[in-house]
Amino acid sequence: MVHVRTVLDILALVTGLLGTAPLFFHLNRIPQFVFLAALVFVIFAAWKGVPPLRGWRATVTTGVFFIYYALQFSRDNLVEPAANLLVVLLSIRLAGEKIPRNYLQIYALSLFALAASSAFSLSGAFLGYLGLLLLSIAVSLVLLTFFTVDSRLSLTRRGLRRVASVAAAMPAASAPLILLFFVILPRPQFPLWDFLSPAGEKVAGLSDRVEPGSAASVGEVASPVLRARSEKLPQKDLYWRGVVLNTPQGNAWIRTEIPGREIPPPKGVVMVRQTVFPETTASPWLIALDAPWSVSGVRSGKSADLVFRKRRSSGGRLKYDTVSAAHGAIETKEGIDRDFYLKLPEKVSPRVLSLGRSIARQGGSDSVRLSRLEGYFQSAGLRYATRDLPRSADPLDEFLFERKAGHCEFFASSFAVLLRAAGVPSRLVGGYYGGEYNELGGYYLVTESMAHAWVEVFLEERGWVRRDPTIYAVNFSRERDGKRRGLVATVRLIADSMSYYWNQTVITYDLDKQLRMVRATGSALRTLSFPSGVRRAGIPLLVAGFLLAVCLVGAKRKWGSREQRVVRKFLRMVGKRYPHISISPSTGLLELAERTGDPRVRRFADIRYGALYRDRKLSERELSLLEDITRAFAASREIVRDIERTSGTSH
Amino acid sequence: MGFAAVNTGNNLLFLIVSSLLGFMAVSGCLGWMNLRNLGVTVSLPDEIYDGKDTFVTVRLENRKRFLSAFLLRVHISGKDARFPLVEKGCVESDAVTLVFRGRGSKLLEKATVSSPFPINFFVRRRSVSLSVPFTVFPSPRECPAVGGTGKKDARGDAFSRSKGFGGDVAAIRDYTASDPLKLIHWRLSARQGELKVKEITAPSEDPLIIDVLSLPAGGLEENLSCAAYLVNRAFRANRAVGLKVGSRLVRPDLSRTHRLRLLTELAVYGTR
Repeated sequence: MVHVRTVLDILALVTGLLGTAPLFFHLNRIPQFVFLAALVFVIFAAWKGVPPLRGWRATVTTGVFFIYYALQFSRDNLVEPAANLLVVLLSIRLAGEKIPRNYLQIYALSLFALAASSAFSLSGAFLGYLGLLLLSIAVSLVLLTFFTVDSRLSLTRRGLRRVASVAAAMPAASAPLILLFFVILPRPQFPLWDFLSPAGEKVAGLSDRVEPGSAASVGEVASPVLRARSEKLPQKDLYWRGVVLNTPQGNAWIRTEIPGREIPPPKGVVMVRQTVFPETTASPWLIALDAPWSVSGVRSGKSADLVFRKRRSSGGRLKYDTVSAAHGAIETKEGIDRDFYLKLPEKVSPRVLSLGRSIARQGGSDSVRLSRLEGYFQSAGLRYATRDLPRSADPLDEFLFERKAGHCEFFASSFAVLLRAAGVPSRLVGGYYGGEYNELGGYYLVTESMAHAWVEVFLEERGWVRRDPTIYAVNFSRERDGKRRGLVATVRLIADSMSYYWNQTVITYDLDKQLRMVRATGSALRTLSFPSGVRRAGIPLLVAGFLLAVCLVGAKRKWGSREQRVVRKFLRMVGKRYPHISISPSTGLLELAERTGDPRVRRFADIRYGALYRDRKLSERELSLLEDITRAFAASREIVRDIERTSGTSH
Repeated sequence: MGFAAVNTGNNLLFLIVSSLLGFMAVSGCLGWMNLRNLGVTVSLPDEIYDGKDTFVTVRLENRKRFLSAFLLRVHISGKDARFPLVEKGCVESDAVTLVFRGRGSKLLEKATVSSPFPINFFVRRRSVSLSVPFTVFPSPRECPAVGGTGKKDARGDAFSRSKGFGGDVAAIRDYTASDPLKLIHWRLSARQGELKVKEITAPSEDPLIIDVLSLPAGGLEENLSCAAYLVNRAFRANRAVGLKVGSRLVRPDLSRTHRLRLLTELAVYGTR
């Protein structure tokens, strides 16, 4: 026998753990400690038989924590104190005395804790936690019902298994309903309290400043930045444009908004359409395949240099559609403010300046000068590196002439400065290069480690042309993030696909999708058509089948099973054969056999009761026998009637 | 939770809300199914007296094909029989003590089956038709001994027709295996060469006929109660008893069926 209370206590612990686990690492130290202490205390108390926390101690502890966190509440800081307080309350409840009401509080607090975790992380693991939590709460609630009826109730292991299996079937059975409710529950067009959903671990995102030489090394973080549903593209075209940095400031490049007319999209160029699912970042730039001509599906502003900026800082997940021309140039008909794009940093080392000027002195058009600089970069023996980077006061000078090693920012920054020194307008573009194509989901995954900077050069005849000086590094490989294979890579690919679908189907599901689904269903119903053969034969058959099924069910209800029918018919026959014996529905067959003295009735009764009193159904053979007896009985009755008739006529 | 979901537009909250709604719907269904396909039968004893505790056996059959039935409570005449778990296709029984008020023929029309399963937020109920007829006999009430011969040692004046151990020898017959040894007539057996036993009568009194309406207890109900007491006492004393109620006369007899018939006569007198 198992005490229901013991099982309830264990399940309360499991429920508390499942509710807190996804939130744990977003909590402050105090609730983390309180929760762990409560767990240890509960296990220790159960082991040593120590009484639980009760009375004024529990109340005072709760009150103190409540006041402590209530003081931290503010409009901008609502979620964090609430989450911390929830976990503290849950811990106190777990360690405290438990009456049925307290168990319910534990389940509710665990569910709230899980809900609070959605304010910190939108990971797909949530679904797993939710599933397990529902399972645990379902079994607990059913057992709690038993406990409420009788607090000292014990169940046999078999009984407990029965109860648990039925309870566990509840979340499983509710899965289709959960899906239905999720789809149809009304979504607001805009969240009313957006500040409550800052949503997620923010990745750093694109910085609006490039400053080579500010760090000795750069990290290689593989956290996703965006996923773009797209056809597969050549690796050389995978430049994801973020922000254009057009103004040198000290050793850095920053962005200055420049007024300008919108450029019309190029003609005769194949456009690439993509849907981008960015991770939540602090950066306001909308990233799209270079060069983006339009971004739709999110409120954004477009600059003349094709930089798209989010209008509202939305906490939740975004997705937007982009149209890009991936040929690496932005045609401008109107020309540019050359002086603005030729402005040099205040301090340029003499070596850098003289290199630029020497290219300029050799004369030629802008494109000739560009080729000359590219020739210099190709022959300079520069290496791509992420460690031991130049950190002097003039990092570009150090990069070009001393260390000859640096990452993309050094390459792009020095290339742009040299171009400007040579009198060719240029600007820096910050974005990402590369992308892992997920064949499973049909999308590109761009990670933080693919952050990149390149240069756009203005050539009169072509407009702004993309040039990536990093490709001139002696150790450059275009496939640096390209093909990684093997088991780990495959697992990563599958895991990322799941994350992608999770974001696509669950996280970004909104009013717009709801409306589209309704419209799609409506139009599908309107245009519902079958091939003519099916329409001619199939629909009448379907209707006939349905009617037949209805009739069969009705007949079974009205006339009962085969066994009931044969018994009824037999009684009718006996009634006609022996009219002096009154037969009611409650007349027993054995009684009838005795009263009629008819061996066939006796035989009929023996067969029927043989099954009935052994609590089994009549076998097919026995049913046939009963039918045979009934038929024989009817036939003999016919004979008797015939004899009576013949004798009647002979009189 | 729903409020938070709508306010924040956070789909994970919508997922929790959907789960709770789905879960509630399924639990409602499960609660409904729990009360379906149940058969309740009630076995009443054949002697039920007005105002006296009566043990009633309630049998609950779970006719469901796949599901066990949980936490059922069968409510009959103000009392509950409890069934924590009835496996599919099984029958469980529980006993309750009921008290029936007022004599006469009655009908136990229905029982209510209820259950808080699966979660204790609502208690579902369903009526089950029973249609069990039964008769409540008048509550036996002691009243002054009447109808005897008046003598203290009247017991033994007459011989009962049934066998016993306390009377005189009524007959001698051959021994059968079921006879107690002490009844063997040793002397006769020795003389005749085979075992003979004595048949001894039980001590008895003359048959008694109770004229209910002329009993001295008071009103009609009191007289009926008194008559019920006398009937039972006479049967315990192995004395044949008959009844005269108004113009109706029931001849004296000794069987149990007869006693129940007399009590039924008392129960239904004046109620039809």
